[in-house]
Order: sequence, then C-alpha cells, then structure tokens
Amino acid sequence: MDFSGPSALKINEQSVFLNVPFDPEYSSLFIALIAGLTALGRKPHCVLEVPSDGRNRLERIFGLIASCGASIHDLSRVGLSGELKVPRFNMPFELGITYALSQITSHGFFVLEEKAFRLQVSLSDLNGHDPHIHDGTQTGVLRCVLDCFGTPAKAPSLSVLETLTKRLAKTALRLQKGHKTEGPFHPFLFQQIEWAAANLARRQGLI
Amino acid sequence: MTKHIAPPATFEQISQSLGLAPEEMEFLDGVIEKVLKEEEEEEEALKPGKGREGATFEAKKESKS
Repeated sequence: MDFSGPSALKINEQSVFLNVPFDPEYSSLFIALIAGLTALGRKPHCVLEVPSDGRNRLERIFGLIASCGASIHDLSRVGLSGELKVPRFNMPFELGITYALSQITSHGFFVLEEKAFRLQVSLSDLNGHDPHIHDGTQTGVLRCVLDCFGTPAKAPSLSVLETLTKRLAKTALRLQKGHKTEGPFHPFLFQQIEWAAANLARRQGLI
Repeated sequence: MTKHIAPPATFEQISQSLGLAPEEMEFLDGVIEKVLKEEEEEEEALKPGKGREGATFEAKKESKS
C-alpha cells in the first residue's frame, strides 16, 4: 500500500475507525460512540463495512483503517467469550496494525477501557499510552470522545451529547425492530444509524 | 495521544458519503420524526397538571360533578 507519492492512499481526516466488541452488552456504548463522533463532525467506520466472507478481508480491513485519520480501540473485553470460551484476538490485533500505521503516517489512535489500570496488565506493551476510561456507561463513552476529539472552543456540552445519544438509541431500537435484529451490528443498520445520527446532530444544530 | 483535530464534516458531506437512496433517507427521517414526537409527548405529560396525575384529578372532578 502506497503512503506517499501520486498514487498514495487517500486519508479522510474526519473518518474514525471503531475497533470495538460487537456484542449485545456493547450496543448502547456503540450508539454513544456513533452519536458523539457524529456530533463532532466525524464519520465513524468499522469492520461491518467489510464483508466477512470476502476475499482479502485482512487487506480490506487494513485499507479501511489506513483510510481513516484516527481510530478508537476499546479493549474492555478481556474475558473468554462464545460457546468455545476463547479470548477474542481481533481487537488487540487491529490495534497492533494501527500502532504500526501510526508510526509511518499521521494516523491518531485512542485506546478505551472500562476499568482503570486493567490495560497495564492485559497489554503492558502499551504502557505510556494512557487509556480513556468509560466505566461501561454511555456518558463515560461521550466523555472519552470529547477528550479525544473535542476542541475546547467548539465542542458541545456533555448534556447535549447525552440528548443526542438518547434520541439515537430510540431511533436505532425502532430500526432494529423493523429489521427484526437484536443489535445494531449489521452493515445496513450501521449505515442507517450513522445517517440518523447525522440527521439528529443537524437538527440539534451541531453539524 | 494528544487530541485528534480535524475540520468537522457537514451533514451533507456525511450523508453523501453514506450513499443512501432518497427513499431510504425519507424513511429514516420519518422514523426520527416519530422518535422526536414521542419525546415531546413524554415531556408534555411530565408537565404539572398533565399526565397521569393530572388525568386522575380531571377524572375525579368529572365523577364528582
């Protein structure tokens, strides 16, 4: 992949790649991330945009991350999951890819955690990069988004972002019911939720 | 990592990048309208003299007369 010269990959500075767990418990935090980022004029992206059975999946994931100006990596899920009770390596793996990318491009990355001081144990190689702690709450996630992307002069208040998140959560729930799905982690739904977030943000005069 | 600063995208830019069909955007706009209307009704119901307590009071008044 070319990072310089005329054929260089086009990087969208407003795009933010979300490397987060896709499980029911994370749904509300995922909605908060989309709401908060969109309110700040950012465009969230995630692997839902990459077909799971497509060829060259890893290459396409890398391409997607590389096309984003920044990324968020939530490493809260450190336990065993699924029927096989195995840890999920995708998120730390994608963080590793991103770290390498940040060494050769201007890509900025932020690490989120639910609990303070846990990352020092689960991923000690990252010591020196303080994670943003969200306590597993939507308000916590919004605070993290403001810390990472908010500009002091223009950033909306936390309560304004909470209102947007509440509205987006209700909208997402209606869309999920319509599509007969239990969570927002579907490609088409992700797109619709993003558009709804932008629409709601515009109605609140944020973008 | 310091803050990541970039000029914010507008609604039009975000909307265009998603590439949704006009009918789909219209549908989503309708869903949002419903959510906002519901919120407005909930807020209205919470105002003093309205909602369940208010309704009960009105009902009591009517039954007395």
